[in-house]
Amino acid sequence: MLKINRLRVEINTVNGVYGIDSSFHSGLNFVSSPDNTCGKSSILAAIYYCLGFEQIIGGVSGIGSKVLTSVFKSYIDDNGKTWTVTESGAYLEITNGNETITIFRSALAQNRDNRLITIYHSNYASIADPKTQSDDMFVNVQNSATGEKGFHTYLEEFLHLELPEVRTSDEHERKLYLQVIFASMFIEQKHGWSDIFSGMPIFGIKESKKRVIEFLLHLDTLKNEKERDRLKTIKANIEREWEQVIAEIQRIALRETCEARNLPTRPRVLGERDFSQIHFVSFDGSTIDEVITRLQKEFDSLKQLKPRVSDNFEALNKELSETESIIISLESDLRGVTTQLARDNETIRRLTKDLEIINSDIRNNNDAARLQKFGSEAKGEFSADTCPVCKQLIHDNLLLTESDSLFMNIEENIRHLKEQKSMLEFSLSSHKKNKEVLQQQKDAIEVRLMTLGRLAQSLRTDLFTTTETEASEAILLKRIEISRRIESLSHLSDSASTQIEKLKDLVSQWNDYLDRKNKLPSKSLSDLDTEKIALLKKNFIQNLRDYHYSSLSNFNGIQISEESFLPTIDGFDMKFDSSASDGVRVIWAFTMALLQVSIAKAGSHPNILIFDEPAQQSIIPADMKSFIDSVVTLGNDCQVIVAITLNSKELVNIIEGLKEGTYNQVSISEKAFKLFNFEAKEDTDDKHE
Amino acid sequence: MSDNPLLRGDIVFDAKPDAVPYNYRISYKVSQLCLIMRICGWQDSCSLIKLHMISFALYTRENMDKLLKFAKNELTNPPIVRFDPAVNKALTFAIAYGFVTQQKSGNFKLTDRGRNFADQVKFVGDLMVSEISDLSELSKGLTESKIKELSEIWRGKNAED
Repeated sequence: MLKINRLRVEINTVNGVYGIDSSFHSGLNFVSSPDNTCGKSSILAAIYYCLGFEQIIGGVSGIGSKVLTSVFKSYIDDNGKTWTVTESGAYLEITNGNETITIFRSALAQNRDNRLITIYHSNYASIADPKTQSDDMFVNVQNSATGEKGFHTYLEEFLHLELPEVRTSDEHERKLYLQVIFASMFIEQKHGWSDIFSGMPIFGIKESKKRVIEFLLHLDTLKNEKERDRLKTIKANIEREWEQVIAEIQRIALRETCEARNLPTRPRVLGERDFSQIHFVSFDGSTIDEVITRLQKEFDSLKQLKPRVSDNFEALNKELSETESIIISLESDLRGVTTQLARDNETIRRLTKDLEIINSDIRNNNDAARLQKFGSEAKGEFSADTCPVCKQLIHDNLLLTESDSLFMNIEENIRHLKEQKSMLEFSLSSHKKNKEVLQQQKDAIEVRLMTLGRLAQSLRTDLFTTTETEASEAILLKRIEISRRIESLSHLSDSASTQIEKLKDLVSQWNDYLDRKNKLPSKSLSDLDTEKIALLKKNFIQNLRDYHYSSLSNFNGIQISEESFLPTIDGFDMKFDSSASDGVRVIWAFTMALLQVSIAKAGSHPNILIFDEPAQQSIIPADMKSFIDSVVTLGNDCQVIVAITLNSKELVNIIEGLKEGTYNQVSISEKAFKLFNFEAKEDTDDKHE
Repeated sequence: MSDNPLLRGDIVFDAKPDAVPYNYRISYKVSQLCLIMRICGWQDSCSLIKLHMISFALYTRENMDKLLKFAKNELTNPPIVRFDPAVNKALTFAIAYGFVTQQKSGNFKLTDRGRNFADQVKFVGDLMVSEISDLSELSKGLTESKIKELSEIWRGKNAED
């Protein structure tokens, strides 16, 4: 759980320190003021800001102090006098039930990056204690959600939230961000009331709303999906290793100019019989054993031959001419292979260059696409699709062309380029493979040429030798070559068998994987999940009833969708069928229902809600009362902070009508940030000493 | 043709949309010109030739390297510049969008809106990164007097021909 104990904002000016120091309790808390422009939102903004959740207010690019109001950054108004802010920052004391920490983050400071957060491992009162340890961490920089020094990594651990890995739209795995989760609990005034979870920053997480609900209710779908993902990596691993082993077997076979037969190229469950079917054949189609026996025979026949030159003159002559003709044909083969290799190399070089160009094109096109959006979003400054003079539709295109020709829009263009890229990549990889094969062929030919060259030379020396008694060099050489070949061939079967052992191991892993895969439920919702969703629906409808939702005469059509876990009416999104004030009631009801279900079914909800001005649109005080009543019934297991403008007598009466002790009120009169009076100053002095 | 048994029906040809290179997108080029004036122009203003030179240098790495050398007086041969009509057209658009005005001297200058826009593009941090870094390297190094020198050379050469 997360509970906010105390917030202290300090804004330094020449006139003294301004700010607010208020405590929050378990259960219901009000931040109230008689007027709307007193700074309630600034107080809530300071809470978000300290927790590093400023993106909930400012969107994805709203990082740092720019989401805060000018009070923090430029000047502060005090009874008509304005004072320039010199430095400012906020302390936030939070607890997870066991430990208490205080977070400090500066908003305006000369020598301190505002993405730096200091954590004191104590409550605020004793942060000046020399025994108190503190840590500096970063927030909203890269890796702040996963890195060791990232504040959100720390916060995740502190709150005992085990954030799941989720899939992003670019198919990567990423942790579900804290900002995204808390956007479902902190309903911000400006964006928060337009739709359920509308303040959620977009981080490219797929189905982020669904993921958040799954996480809050601790649904098994998440677990199953995680298991599914785990299995996916296991599968990929096995496939990769399998491929390596197969490639290795093929490589050692090829080194001995042999070929492996009956190799299973893809993972599957294999029995002993399948393994015994794997065997090696040389290129002429005979098995290794046959080749070895043949070589052995040849070797033996050489032994019987008299190693004398004069006896074998005819035979030697014939052999020499045969060898030379083989050499010539091999040399022409080699030439062919070399030319092809050179051609492949050239193609690869060209393709790589093309790929570079395409990549830079894609990057620039992406830029252009973003500029297009950027231009139309940035206060409507310019839209490249509209003619600036006549406001008619034009193409975003500077080429001089006939008016009726068609152009790709930029998204199509990017898709087009990406297709080209994948085509080039395919072509490149096939050329690379081709090159490898050719290289191997070339090596094999070169080795054979060398052997034959040696043989030819020995034959020649034999022919021209003069002494009668000398032994024939050619025969000796042949003997050596043959025995070497026999040796390497028998070595081949040895090394192949070790690889096959590895394969057997992989087979058992594969078996295991298939078993686990079959155990996964095919339906994504488990029974417990269905129960939770049913409860969510029940609570949601009950809440709607309590809050006097009136766009529908009966609530029978309301469902919680099993695809998105969001409420629907007769299969449609709820907001289409609701009036504006009922839209607000839907948000109340759903946000509350999530918390209620999480409490009832031990979900992972941090048990905190913050509502900024829930009395939006034409909400009448009676609805407000039932809303507040429902918060009170939640009890002290959770914390709810409501910022509210008490602009009518009825509202004041509602709060005063609550039982003593069921709520805590932080009232603000006039301005939220006041000059700290003497007592408060003593407090700060305390800290400095 | 009518005897050909393979061509019995009519041939229908649907024109497929053409791809447009990013350099010919209004959104890209207008932003690029704004950035050039913001980063490389004295008081956000540039002559037409300067805009053309820098815009052309941004096409490829080699062009940019040559221009950088020229700006640092390390190049004896002046760089070749291709005058792309797209730049003129984009300038017209930029003027119409209210990003750029033409001064009395003939130079082009960013308006407040244009300056804002260029600053925003720079501020986002991951937009047109390579362009911004190249332009920042060039900075104000390519002065108008150098360009004048260069155009004198062009004129001189033409006279010889």
